[in-house]
Amino acid sequence: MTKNTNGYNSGTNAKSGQAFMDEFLGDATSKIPTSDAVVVALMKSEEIDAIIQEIVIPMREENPSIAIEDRGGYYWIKATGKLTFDCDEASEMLGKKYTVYDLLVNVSTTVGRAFTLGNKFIVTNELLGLESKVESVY
Amino acid sequence: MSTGKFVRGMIDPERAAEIRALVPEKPLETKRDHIPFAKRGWRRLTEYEAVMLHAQPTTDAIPGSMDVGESVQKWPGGRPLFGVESTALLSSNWFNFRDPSKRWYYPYIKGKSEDGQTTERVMKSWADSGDYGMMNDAWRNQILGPVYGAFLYEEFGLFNANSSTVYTALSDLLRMWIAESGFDKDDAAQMIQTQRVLLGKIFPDFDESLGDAKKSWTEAAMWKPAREFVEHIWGEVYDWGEQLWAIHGVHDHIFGQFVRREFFQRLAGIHGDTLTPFIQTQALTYHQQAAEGVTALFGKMLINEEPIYSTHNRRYLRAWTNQYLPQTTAALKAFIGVYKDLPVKVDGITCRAGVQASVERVIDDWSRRFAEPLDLKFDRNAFVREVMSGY
Amino acid sequence: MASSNLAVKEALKANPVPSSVDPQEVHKWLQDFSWDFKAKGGKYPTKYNLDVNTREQFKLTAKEYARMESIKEERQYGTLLDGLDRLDAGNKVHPKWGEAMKVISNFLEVGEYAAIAGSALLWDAAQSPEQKNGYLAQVMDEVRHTNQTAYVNYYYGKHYYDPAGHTNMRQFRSVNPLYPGVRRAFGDGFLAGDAVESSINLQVVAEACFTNPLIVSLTEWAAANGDEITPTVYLSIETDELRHMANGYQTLVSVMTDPESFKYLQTDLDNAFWTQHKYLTPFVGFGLEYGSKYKVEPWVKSWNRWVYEDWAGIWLGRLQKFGIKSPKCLADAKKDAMWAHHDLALLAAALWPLTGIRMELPDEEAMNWFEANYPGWYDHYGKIYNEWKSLGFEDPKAGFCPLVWMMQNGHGIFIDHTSTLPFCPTLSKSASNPSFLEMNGKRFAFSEGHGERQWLQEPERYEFQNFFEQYEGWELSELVKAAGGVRSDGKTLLSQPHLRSTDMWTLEDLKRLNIVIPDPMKIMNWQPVH
Repeated sequence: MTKNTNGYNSGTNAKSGQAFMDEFLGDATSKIPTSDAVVVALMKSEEIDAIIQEIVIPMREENPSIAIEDRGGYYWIKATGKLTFDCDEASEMLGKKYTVYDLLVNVSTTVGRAFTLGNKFIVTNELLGLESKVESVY
Repeated sequence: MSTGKFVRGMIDPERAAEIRALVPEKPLETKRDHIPFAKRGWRRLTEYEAVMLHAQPTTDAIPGSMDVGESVQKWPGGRPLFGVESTALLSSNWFNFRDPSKRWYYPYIKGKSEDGQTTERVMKSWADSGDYGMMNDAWRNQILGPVYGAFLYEEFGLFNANSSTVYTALSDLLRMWIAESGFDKDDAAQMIQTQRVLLGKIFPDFDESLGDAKKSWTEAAMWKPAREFVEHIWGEVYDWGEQLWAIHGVHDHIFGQFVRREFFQRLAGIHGDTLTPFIQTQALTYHQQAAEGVTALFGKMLINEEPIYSTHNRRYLRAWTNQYLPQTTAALKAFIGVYKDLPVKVDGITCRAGVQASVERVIDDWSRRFAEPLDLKFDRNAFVREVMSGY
Repeated sequence: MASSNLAVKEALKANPVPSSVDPQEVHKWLQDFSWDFKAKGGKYPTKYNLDVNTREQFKLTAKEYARMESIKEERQYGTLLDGLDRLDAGNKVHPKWGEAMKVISNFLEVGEYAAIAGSALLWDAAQSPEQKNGYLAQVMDEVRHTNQTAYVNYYYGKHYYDPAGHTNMRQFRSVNPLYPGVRRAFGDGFLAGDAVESSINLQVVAEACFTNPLIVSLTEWAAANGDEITPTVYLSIETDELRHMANGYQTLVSVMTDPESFKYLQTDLDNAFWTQHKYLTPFVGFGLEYGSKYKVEPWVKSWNRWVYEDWAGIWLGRLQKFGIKSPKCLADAKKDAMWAHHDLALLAAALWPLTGIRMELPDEEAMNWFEANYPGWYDHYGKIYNEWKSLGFEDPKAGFCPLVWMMQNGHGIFIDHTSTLPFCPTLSKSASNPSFLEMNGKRFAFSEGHGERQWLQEPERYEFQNFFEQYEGWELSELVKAAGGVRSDGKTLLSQPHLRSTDMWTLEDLKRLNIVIPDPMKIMNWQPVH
């Protein structure tokens, strides 16, 4: 079992049966929590497999909160703060033109505030438009 | 590559064997026709139509609907969604519409993607090869700046007018076609600006910003009737049938076609501008597909093949045509004054006879396609005279 | 780095393509595309003030959207029409799941279709051109998704060994008592009302919250049960949803800084959450846990992850400092996440001839799994299923009908008037607080207080005939036949209470039960228990 609090089955989901039910239905979890994490689901493809290996896993050196889980058809990624996918870097690694919109072909969901910035795809816990501006490189 | 941790039923030997054992030797049902209950309409359903027809969950008050009963949750006040009162037109079966272009999402979006990628290559070649060097400076700064820029607002406005038509249209295949037509209008507006951004990169004296263009659109007399039509159809008309007819069947087939084809596409060449005709060819294609859809909806479905309400519909379409044709006439008459500002004049093209021939081409095509099927009494020569009085 | 990669890098450096126009360069001008005029403001104006300066986070132009979506389509249809066809994927699916997908994909199609018009309503109402552009892309996405969800049924219809139901669910669903509920939440809820209220239903709750378990984690259950068709399509659907979630978020942003608008927001959010949850929580949980042989994880855990921890925590949680509060119904929603899908499964089994699928009751292995993950499940539900089995639930000659068993045992089935979901007050383990109210000489049933309050505040929004009112007096086999519920042999039923290819129920078997649809509101005279 992972010690990462962002891990797939961390927190309440680490429990099962009656223990899970007691915590899930308990008073402590009857209000909405506040989380600083973000979630991304990447649909498996040749490019995404490479991006996971070459770009996402190495990101853990700077952000050890990144959790990655193989969920059959997709990779589930959860991290505290922000996830940035630099498609110039992916393009160089893949050996072909690969824009942020090519990446979006396989981004199956996000939880957080997701946006494009030039050739980068960013998912952040910042409240865009409220705490920060929706930036543009142009 | 996958971690292999996730157990998939198709490739896990144990699960695959269990599943295989449950599949009978013969299918439980041999009939595989999709939506076998559906009426064919005027031809056999295409694969796409079989996939899409009757996707709309509809109150049974809409003729042709498959559902039983009414909508479950309504607007505050009790107004249902998808109500027949959303248009004055009547149909025995609103689900009889078929897009003559047989477009569905995949080929539609693929076609537009190809248009986009071709544009990218053409613009690069045009810029890298120095083709832009042929362009007349005054054409660029006096026409492509404010006039072409202002036309962006016409396209963008008609795009917005389609929002309520997508919202209220009464059947699934119809709604798909309308959505595509609306998307094409947004695209047409954006492509004008794409071209203007490129011009701004290449020519230091070209300002790609839209201030002058918007000023022209909102203040210049040459755009006033067209702008007022767009504002009316966008902001004030609730009947989606009236909107579609007025936009694609009247205004855009006359005024829009004239501006795109007879003005920009035809005259760009004589000003050394080889890029504008290419960009506008896409918009012309999109309009052509919209016009075919309008013909199929209004001409074929609601008049020619409508067994009960044909006369009723024809009466409405004539009335709407009579309502919007004068404004379209005025729009073209006001626009046509732009010829006097052309930097290059070519006899036979920009002279009165040349321009009149352009007006006649557009109105004759419109008459053939839209007026004649309605048996509409329409004085073609008076139209030409009135428009040409603006020259 | 491989030499070819280096070559590409060098080539890109040498040719920085100054003659091209980046889509985002065009996008930055969109805010200047509009102009002010007297009649501007949307034909379906909203009580909220939508900020004209709201931005769109993905910065797509029409052409770049088309390029991106074209790649998605090429890959998806390539996989379906080539790879999965060669693998005979349609017959590698566990039949329990293959049957569940008859209803799941068709009901999801209802939501996708309604979302076309719902997004158009927002396109009409929005004032910011960037926002309009984003909603337009969503309109096109929803066209795509309607195609896609329908194509799953179409593909199954061509390749799966039991196409019946995949081919004609659009017809048969008219008599499925579970169908009006999806029409209300996923259909009407997306487009019949104030544009921002619709956006909160569609984008903020249904898409940002429930499509993650419905469309993303559902693919895990599909793959576990041998279905590689659904993940191919649904994961691609969801690649569009993140833009819709951003649309919803920006809709919130565009009203949150205006005090006049903000005063409506909490009520609409609470209502939207309950509206969507009330249907989707039981329906998705039922589909996953009762429509599968191979289990992935308890639905309540998926709900806890995607709905509570991530959507509520990440999406709403950080908005609390701007005044957003916990929905008042959250505690009840969590109780529902534990039990509502089990309540629904029991009723679906009782109403099996009207579902349009072949279903079987939980076997011993499934019962053990349910009890381990939902302690108390067996005593409440398992015992009933075992009794039904012993009375001949599957046997067409036994003459047993669970619907009759329920009525005879005092377990009336009613339609919750707001959600239109059937419920059984005496067997419900979910958040239940039934009431019966009368207005203008007509009685209405409510399974709990949140929906009841929605009706009390706006009763005119819920004026319709429910399933029992529509079909009261119909003999069951006649109703099934009229709705297209008979296979091409003219006698075998579309719906079956087991998965075998033998002992299949016929129209005659159903007719012998002699069930005439009642209106329980008239015969049960049920009164609330306090």
